[in-house]
Amino acid sequence: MTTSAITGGCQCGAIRYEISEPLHDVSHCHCSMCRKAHGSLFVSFGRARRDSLTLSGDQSLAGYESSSGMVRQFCRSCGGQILIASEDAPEVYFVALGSLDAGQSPGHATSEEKHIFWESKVSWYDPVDDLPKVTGYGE
Amino acid sequence: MSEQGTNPPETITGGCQCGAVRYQLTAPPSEVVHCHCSICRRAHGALFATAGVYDKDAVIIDNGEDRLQAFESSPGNERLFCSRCGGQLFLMVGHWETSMFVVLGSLDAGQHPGHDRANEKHIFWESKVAWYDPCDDLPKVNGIGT
Repeated sequence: MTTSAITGGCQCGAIRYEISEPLHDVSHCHCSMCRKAHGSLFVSFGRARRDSLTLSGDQSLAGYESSSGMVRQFCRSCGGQILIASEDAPEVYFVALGSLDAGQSPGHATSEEKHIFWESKVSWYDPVDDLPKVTGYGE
Repeated sequence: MSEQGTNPPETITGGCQCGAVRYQLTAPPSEVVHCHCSICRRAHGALFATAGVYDKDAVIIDNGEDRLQAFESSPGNERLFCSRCGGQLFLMVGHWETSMFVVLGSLDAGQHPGHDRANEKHIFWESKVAWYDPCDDLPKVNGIGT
């Protein structure tokens, strides 16, 4: 666990954020929407309380509602995906962990890390780590 | 590990999340790289980015070319994304005249790109985040490995 602030932002630097406490529930998501939104084979998110996250440059944020009530926010200058805001979870953001500075750890407990929507994974690439792999959110 | 897909379709299709930009690929990539560099991580908001090297002639943009927005992520190199949904699609390397990268998360339905697995590797492994390792058996090289 880290006690210092977690920092991150987009590629061009227009959007910066600071998170004052460790993130929780790190999910490597293989769903088709995450793959298309990020252009990656899977996308890793951590959950942060909205109160713990301070954002600057938010005039550069563009939003795209990828499913009902779920808005993906990215930088309109460089296209960097930053976070997801969900109406169903108004207290938190889901932060795209590739946007953390210098590959920082989100500070979570490894017991809170898993692959989700494993059933949607591309057939041709397998991470073979020993993390749990669940269908959907794994409820 | 999955090997090369059986009977990959002749034409592979893809696009961004909102569907504004659509493309087809008429030939498989010569190489597939999983890139862990800090620029790819930021551009995609992911722990690494996966892209294929394609002949420019094999990449046909069917729709939404006017939606493509460019960001020069390093001198001479442009990343193209959809201005509506932010989906990353292409990387044009300045000194490459006849080839380009297509980002493979943008392929429809997780299609196999049709490459030979012998031409797939992790690059810029030295820049990988310390806290996650995909643990696969692909080659891992520093930088671009040459």
